[in-house]
Amino acid sequence: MRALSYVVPILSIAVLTVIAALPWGLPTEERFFLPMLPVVAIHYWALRRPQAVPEWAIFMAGLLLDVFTHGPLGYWPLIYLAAYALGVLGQDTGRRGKLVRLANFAAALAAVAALGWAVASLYFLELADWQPYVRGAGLAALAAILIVPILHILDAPYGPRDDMSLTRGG
Amino acid sequence: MGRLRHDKLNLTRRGSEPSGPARIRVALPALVLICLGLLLLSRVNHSMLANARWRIAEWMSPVLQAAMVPLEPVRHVGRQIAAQVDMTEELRRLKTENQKLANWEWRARQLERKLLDLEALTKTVQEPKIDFVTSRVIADSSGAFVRSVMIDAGETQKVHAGYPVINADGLVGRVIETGLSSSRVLLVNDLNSRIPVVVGKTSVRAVMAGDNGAQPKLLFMPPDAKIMPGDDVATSGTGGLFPRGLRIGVVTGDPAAPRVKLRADLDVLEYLSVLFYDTPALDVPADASVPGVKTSTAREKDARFASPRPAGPEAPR
Repeated sequence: MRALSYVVPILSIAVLTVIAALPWGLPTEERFFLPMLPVVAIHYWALRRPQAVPEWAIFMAGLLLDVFTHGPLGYWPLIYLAAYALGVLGQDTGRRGKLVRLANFAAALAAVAALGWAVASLYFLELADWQPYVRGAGLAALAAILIVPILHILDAPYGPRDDMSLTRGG
Repeated sequence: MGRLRHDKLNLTRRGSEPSGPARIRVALPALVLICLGLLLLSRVNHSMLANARWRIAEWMSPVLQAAMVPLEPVRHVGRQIAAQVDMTEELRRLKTENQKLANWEWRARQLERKLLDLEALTKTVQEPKIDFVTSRVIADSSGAFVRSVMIDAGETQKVHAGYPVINADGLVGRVIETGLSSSRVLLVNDLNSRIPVVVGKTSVRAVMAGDNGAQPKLLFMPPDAKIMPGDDVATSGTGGLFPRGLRIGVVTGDPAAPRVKLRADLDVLEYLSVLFYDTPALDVPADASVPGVKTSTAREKDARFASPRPAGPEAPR
């Protein structure tokens, strides 16, 4: 049971990484949100149970996506590690209710998209088109509405309980 | 003490679940440094990275092939919905096109007969028929860097680097890397793609260059070239990498800076055909070389021409 609590987060990130590499038949400009799908899971796990997702697993997920999509190696691992770091740093906000968690996630997604654009621009040594990144982040936020409840169901047997509060007295 | 225990929450345990302020572990900055190193190596297109990348991709291709199984019905439903949406418009377009094609068919038969007569008169050497294999797209690129797809045919199916790749609509790209059971196809709109083409009825020669956008550019045209939007663009066969006459698209945009509207929809590639086209110009036997000079075979040269290049704007070609 304890081993499963570590396997589930890694497996969920791996599945989303494979989904991001598959040919969905979407227009090229609309495809930017696919690699952002693992970001949703990485941020979710980093916020709730960072110790369950080792950094190397996130690095490997990014590297695998770079290999599948033939992009420059190191690009997606860098973005995913940034998403993880933002999740870990925002752990405290995770305990302050759903709305704060949601704001934290939106800010992280925007920061990750901005980082993606900045690294791509640096790689090409010219300013990349920012619009696909913004659209990608927006679509990933919409996809999160579907992904997060699934992750929540997967996490239910192992993660911290949202409905439990420890109070004195009573 | 017993009251502090819960099925899913053990308040008496120490250590394994940190409850203090959030901490970034040492591994994270170390991995970030590795990422930056890999990015730099990718930028200079280190050969070691290219080999390792392709080996991993080849090794992981069964995972993608397995993942395609549940994806197929989803794509089918998507296609059905898209087809239903523009069915009326499509029907009208097809009717008009059918009328035009009936006229063209009659004219084509006449021209074919005339051509055969002329070929017989001039004793023209017949062009060899090109064999092909059709395979499925199992992964595509997403992001700003490359335009390429991975197909599930490789050396086992006799696919080699350099072979042209087409679909029902026209040229799609060419094979740049092959493994045992999978290959990578560089699409014609990739930043590194350069294809010699002929444009229009006057067969103006040009080079079609990709820029990762939907419509590649036409470069190196003669100064007095007259091309108009709507002119056909096809491979010229110059250089021998592609057979002559593979249709690509039509000229679009400003005639001063023309672009090519591709016939093939590169966003929705499903099945692709790899043409077994061995470059005839490079098919020089080794013993025909100048003494003391090593001549590479056609396959070696193909591989060299098709070797992967950096996914950056300064990629040499």
